[in-house]
Amino acid sequence: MKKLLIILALAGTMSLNSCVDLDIQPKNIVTDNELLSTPAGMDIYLARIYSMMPFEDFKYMGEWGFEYNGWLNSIGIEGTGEAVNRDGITTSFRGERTPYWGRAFETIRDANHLIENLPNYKDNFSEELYNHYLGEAYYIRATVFYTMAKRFGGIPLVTKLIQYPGSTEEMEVPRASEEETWDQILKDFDEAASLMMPKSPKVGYSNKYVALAFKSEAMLYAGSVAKYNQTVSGRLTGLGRKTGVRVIGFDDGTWESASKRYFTEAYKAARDIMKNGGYSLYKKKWSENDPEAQYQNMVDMFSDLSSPENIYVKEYIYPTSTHAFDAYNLPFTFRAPLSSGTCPTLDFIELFDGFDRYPDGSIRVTTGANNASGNYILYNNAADFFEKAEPRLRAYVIFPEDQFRGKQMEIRGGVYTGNTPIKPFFNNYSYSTADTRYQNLDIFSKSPKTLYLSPREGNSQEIVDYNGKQMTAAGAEGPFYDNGEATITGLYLRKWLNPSPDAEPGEGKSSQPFVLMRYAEVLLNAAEAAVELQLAGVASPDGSNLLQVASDAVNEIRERAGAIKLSSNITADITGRNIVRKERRKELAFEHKAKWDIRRWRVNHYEGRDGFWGENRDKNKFSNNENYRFRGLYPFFSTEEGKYFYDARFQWVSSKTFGYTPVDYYWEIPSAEVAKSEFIDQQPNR
Amino acid sequence: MNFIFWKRSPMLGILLVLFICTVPNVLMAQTQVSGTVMSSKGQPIGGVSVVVKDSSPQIGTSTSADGKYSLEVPAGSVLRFSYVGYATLEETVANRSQVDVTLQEDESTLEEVVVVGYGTQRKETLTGAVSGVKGSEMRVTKNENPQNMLAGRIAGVRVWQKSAEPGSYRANFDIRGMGAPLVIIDGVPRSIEDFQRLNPNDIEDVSVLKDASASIYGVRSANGVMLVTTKKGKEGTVSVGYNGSFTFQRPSNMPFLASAFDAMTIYNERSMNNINGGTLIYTDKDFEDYRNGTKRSSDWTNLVFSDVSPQTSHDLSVSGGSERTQYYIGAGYAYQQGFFKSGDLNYNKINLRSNVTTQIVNGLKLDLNIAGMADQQNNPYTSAVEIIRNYWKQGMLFPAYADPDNTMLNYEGLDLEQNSVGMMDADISGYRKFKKKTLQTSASLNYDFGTISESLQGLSAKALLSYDYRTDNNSLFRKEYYQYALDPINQTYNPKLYDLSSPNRLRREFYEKQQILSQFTLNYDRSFGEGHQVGAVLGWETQKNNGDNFYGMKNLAFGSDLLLMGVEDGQMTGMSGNLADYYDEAKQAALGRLSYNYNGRYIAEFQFRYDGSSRFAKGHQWGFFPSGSAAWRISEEPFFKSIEALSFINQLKVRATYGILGDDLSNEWDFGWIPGYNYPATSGNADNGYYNEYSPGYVFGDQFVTGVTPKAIANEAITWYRAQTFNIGVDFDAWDNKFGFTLDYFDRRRTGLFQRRNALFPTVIGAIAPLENANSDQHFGLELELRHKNQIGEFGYSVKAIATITRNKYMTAVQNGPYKNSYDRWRNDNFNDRYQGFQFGYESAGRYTDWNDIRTYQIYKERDLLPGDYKYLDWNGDGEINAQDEHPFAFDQTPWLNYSTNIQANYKNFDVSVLFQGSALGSMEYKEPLYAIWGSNGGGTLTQYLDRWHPIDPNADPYDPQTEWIQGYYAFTGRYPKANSSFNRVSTAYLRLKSLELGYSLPTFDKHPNIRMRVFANTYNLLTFTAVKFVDPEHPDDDLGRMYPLNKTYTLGISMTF
Repeated sequence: MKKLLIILALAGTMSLNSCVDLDIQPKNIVTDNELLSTPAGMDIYLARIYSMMPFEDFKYMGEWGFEYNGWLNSIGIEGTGEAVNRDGITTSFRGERTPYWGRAFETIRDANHLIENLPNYKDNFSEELYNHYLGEAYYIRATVFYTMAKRFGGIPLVTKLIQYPGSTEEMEVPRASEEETWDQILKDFDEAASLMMPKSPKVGYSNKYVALAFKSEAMLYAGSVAKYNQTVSGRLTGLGRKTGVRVIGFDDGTWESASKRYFTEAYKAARDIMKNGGYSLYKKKWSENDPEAQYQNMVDMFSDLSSPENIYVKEYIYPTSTHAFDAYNLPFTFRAPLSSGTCPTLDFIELFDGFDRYPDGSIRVTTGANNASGNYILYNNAADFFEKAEPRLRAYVIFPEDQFRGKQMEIRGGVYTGNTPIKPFFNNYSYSTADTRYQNLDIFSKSPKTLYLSPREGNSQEIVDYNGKQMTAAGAEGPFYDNGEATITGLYLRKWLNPSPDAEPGEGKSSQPFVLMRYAEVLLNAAEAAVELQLAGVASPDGSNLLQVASDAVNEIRERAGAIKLSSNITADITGRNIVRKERRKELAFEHKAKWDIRRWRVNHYEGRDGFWGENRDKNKFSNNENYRFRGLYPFFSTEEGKYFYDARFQWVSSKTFGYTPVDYYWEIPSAEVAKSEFIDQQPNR
Repeated sequence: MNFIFWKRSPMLGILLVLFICTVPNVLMAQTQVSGTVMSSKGQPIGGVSVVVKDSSPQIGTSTSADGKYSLEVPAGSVLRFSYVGYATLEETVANRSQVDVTLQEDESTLEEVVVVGYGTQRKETLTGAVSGVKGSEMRVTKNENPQNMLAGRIAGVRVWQKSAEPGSYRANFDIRGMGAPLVIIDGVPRSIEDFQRLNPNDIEDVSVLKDASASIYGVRSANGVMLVTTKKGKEGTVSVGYNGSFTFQRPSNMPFLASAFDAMTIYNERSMNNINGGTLIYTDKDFEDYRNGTKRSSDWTNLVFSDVSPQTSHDLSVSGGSERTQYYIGAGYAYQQGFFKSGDLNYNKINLRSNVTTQIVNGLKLDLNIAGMADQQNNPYTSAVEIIRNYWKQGMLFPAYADPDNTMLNYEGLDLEQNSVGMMDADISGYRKFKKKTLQTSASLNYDFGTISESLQGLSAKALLSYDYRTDNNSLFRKEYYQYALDPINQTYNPKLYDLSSPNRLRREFYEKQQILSQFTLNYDRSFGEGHQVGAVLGWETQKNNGDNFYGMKNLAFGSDLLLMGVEDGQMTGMSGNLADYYDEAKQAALGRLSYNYNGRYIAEFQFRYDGSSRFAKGHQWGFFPSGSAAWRISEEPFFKSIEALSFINQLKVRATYGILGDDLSNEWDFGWIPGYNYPATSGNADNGYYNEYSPGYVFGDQFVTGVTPKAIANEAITWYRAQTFNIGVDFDAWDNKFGFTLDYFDRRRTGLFQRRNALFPTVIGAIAPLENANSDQHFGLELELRHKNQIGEFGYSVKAIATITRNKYMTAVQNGPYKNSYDRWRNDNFNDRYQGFQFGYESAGRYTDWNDIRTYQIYKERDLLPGDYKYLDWNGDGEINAQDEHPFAFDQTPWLNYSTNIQANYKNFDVSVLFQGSALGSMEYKEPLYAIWGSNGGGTLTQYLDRWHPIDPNADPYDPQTEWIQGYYAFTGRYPKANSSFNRVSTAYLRLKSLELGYSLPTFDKHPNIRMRVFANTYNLLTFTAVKFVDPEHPDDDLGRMYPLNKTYTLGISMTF
């Protein structure tokens, strides 16, 4: 009995100790077989790629680059003059903290993998769908190449899947010339457009016209670069030290033909969409001679997913996939917990019609010949200043005392208790005195005190007695001189913000879509390419009258914007070209486009800066040889008169300066990448 | 008098021994001696051997049950009292007829048995570097975490406590700097988390295998092994024990905020610090407004932090047993509160353990160990790091409450509207609760074949089956709350929803993990003939582990923390695909040991493990890990024994081990042999729609489609890395434990460390380079232990000092480079040809003491220097301070030298235990809030920043040469040293009184001699000597220095047995 027990016990434990299977696959690993064989699997494969696409939207900032991170997101703050932000993120667009290099090649690999492996699964799909998926791969590759080329010029054109391990020759790809690069982009966009369906199989996918629209944008960039590199004191071309390849710029013998070729392609692609795409400008609420309707129409168009103007939109869904654009950009009283990230500038306002001007074209705030002379013009209400402003501008920018989310925006720089008429606060408004601020004025800091300003909100406000009541020096929305979290220019952004009074502010609460490509841009691409072709003496690619096409496009946009239409057709000269450029700056403001436009026009460095605005303007007004800065428009209240007046002054709270040199037109290749490879060239001018 | 000298000086002892040995016997006369032998606890001890030293033939007797003895001895004799478990004691009789002695219990005699892999060995015949500590010795350090109790106790074991946050158990723990060791609790591989949560009172002993003697654990052994044994019952009457203690905690060096006035002064100074003309931010009116109450400030320090925070523990144990069955049952409860005034940061833990041994039939023994643990870590919804960060950042200039009656939380003036008082209070802002429950069971049958037949004596078989189960059940509740601001016009308080608190939301998480392990081992241990002893172990082991989890989240209809009351909005479920949370793994191994011992003189041992792991591809799963070791106990050699002059030496042993060990652990293990994709792709902040993170998917057709993450390029050949470990050591003990030392040299070389060849992998490939067995490194160092033990009458004491120094460096590191030139390599390659952890930076050359010094100091300078500014060493001598002057000047955070001294003493009923512990060869950098004033509106003004160079007149222009200065630790406000200079990166070398315990054992009652009671007082981290300012030297610069501080504790406690 005893022995039996022992034997049983030992045998029992022995059997428990039998072999275990060591061949265990982790469960969360999938393969091509699962991904490339069904439309649902393709959704997942493409979701990966699209999540990594270099889309400049609510999760992109120029200062940081593609970090796919919506933190502090503000827009138009890269020294384009559209807006400024209080923080260090508002800097000139001279490079990105995370250069678009390593991730770019990952996405290219994903695209090439699809091109090489999808044929194995061809029978799983209808021919139309199969072609579309292939077309997506070319479109993705074209987009990545284009995104890189804008930044670096010539890039390594990886057009096949590279195997590892392999020989150095098999694994390394040197930078191609800039011209080869743009030609490859052209080829890939064309391939994509020929393969893809005219309508996206699913919202969020691309299609033929998406490819054509971005092609027209890319070719406009290529054509501009080929042409305007020549205007930058001969420096913008060069050969790579390791390979001898012309990695930036164009050969003297080819730039002109390349430029014409690219403008032609830009024109053709845009015209194809205009003729066959079925898109149109958004005018659902638009009504002729009704500025209020025209304004509301342009507010609505950015959130209306059914807009016929939308060509490609990046969508968000609350609460799964969100952004925080409202949280960072709402006016101060809505802060949650930040605010006021995008403060439009006076310079931007000045692009628009509807304001009195000084002889030099700047907006008038005094009765004199410039803003240092005469007396301030008084307004019964702060909003009166903007009475005749273009509806489009009002749809983009919140003016002082205008309504937002059912609330009147109390924007006020300060309160003036001195006598009227009021002389300008400063005797000098030039660039060199920009750092003298309102709080440095004797009327603020010395007795008798006639100027009241607030360092901060709430309890920290200076209080002024007016008509037996009390009023705060700064309005509820600022600006506050010791707290940059309210407006720092006297203006707030309206575009993209959720206008609903019921919308919750806060990080991760926003799900507005971002319109990455819309029909208005296609019209402007056509117009610009047409003017450039006419200037270069190229015959119309489609037989249309080029200048008529350009003029019609601009007028179509102006009509919708509630702006004054062209009095006569655009002419084939610099003035004509500038009309198109300026319209582009206005229409596409705060859409991450202007920073590329002023780059490709090569007008960001000092010598070119006269043309910075898309029109000619005296560069010495806003810059010295090195730096430039932008102005705010600050409303003040006069207790004597009970009226408002405006002061136009270089941005006052947390002031920002910007700079740019010709070297910045081609960004540095990440130095570690150059050091690591025998083949990758640094820019020859660095 | 003689014996006093004897005790005091080993050298005199030698002389005395020699003297006694040579005294001729002619003087001897017989006297009658009697007496009583008592234990240190006052109990008489029966069966104690009492012999006359050096008598031949031996004269001796043993004590009766009441501890009495009587003996005829020659005059001038020395009596030797010895008994198992007690230190041997010698007493000179002199002229006495009554010699009463007290024997000290001794747990570290040479006969001590130590736990090694799959068995035990006698310490004296050990061949490997194995050290241990008794549970009772550990417990002298009072801490909630057994890891911290090990600090300074075992040579080579390095414990680095980073924070005292309740329940977070943040400590770095390794053996000889080799990385996280394998933790074996009662023979079963378990995790360091399990060890951290053990009831300290259940621990019998801990031993660590520091060298190739760990190779029997194969693929997990490269970093050493810690073996923990829990208590077992002893045959005898029922013994009930109770331990209870109450502890006060204080932060060990925590920077606090300066007052509103100091903050304004400091901010003004910073603003005045402008050579082009500074301005004052705060005017006299501001100061006056705070003084007369027009503007309100709050004492945030008092609102956020408690003066003292309590901690308690209670343990009850019952043990005993019959001849056939013994049991130990222990239960423990521990509670610790954090430093926040709300009390909402706290931790509690309950342990229950039952270890039962029973003999089923003759020779067949069953061991059944069952242990359960349940703990709960309670946090406010905001983490401690964030609360501390926010407290520092916001400063004192704005009040915590909007109204003077302190009823409405304020938001005005607070950066991001974050109010620390609201954030630390779970009733206001919600909570995070982490509940963990573990069940650890094992049953083993041990059969002694010796009971069947004499010829099978020494052979036994053991079968063990173990099942462990752990769950984590977490609730994360975010609660909406409002904060207020005064409208200065209407004098009303306007409420505002604190945005990050909305909407009300509950997230529940559930994790479960289990492990099944079975072992079958055959043991053989037998002596043959003249002193030949052979031992063998042969075993087979299998192990399966799996982990699973999921979570669910909902926004809530009301503010109540029930998932049931959730709404559809914000609903989300999912799971974590992390390797630590979701896995299915198996291991299998054959193992063995063969040892041979000749007369306790020559000892040799061979061990192996043939190990298979499911982490690798077929064909790369199995590995063989052998080790060999040998020891020579010179002190057992006949020639050695024959030398009288050496007879004072009790033990002299040299030993060496060499073996190949393995490791399959890697933080970034990605199953690199499988090609494909990970699904789903993941990213941070999924709860809030990834608004500030990469979104791992895309919206197609109005649906969010989660994407995949392509895996790195596959490498099928990837396998574990190998560690070749060599150790050589000497053990020496003399003068009956009055002096001893152990010295070890160790050298571990690892090859095949996982790394990606990023340096050469072309970026244009667009993929992640595969993990390969590419890198190699070396760890080596010295370890020294010194021992001294003595008894002077009723005063007994022991001293143990240990020190370990470790260095390591890469032999090959493929991930970085290539480098542009040799300077670039020297400057940026901290891996190759340089010991780990060197920091580049500037060395101090003192301070500018006055204007004259600034004018005359021979270096290129900026024009805005001020008295008190920092001077740097012009290392390359080019007359200018720039990046070329940076050179390796400091170590990293990890201290590479660790040392400690442990002193224990007792006198009559009093006992005292002191542990000094310290480290060196480490450094830390002051970051963000500890580096500079970090905040706005008066925030970040820590009191330490008041100790600075500043003009006597706060409104004076600092650039005016007439300004008079007061000296300080920092330069003038706003002037900070280079972050990577010796002004800001300081040595973390420290020496601290880690633990001090004073105990008193109450005299026993005559009626109840079994009731024993001891009361004690204990402190932890009482005194620290270091150059680190403002924070604890162990407090790392992780989390930018905002981590929850370490604690100092003061404990009163009682322990009873009956």
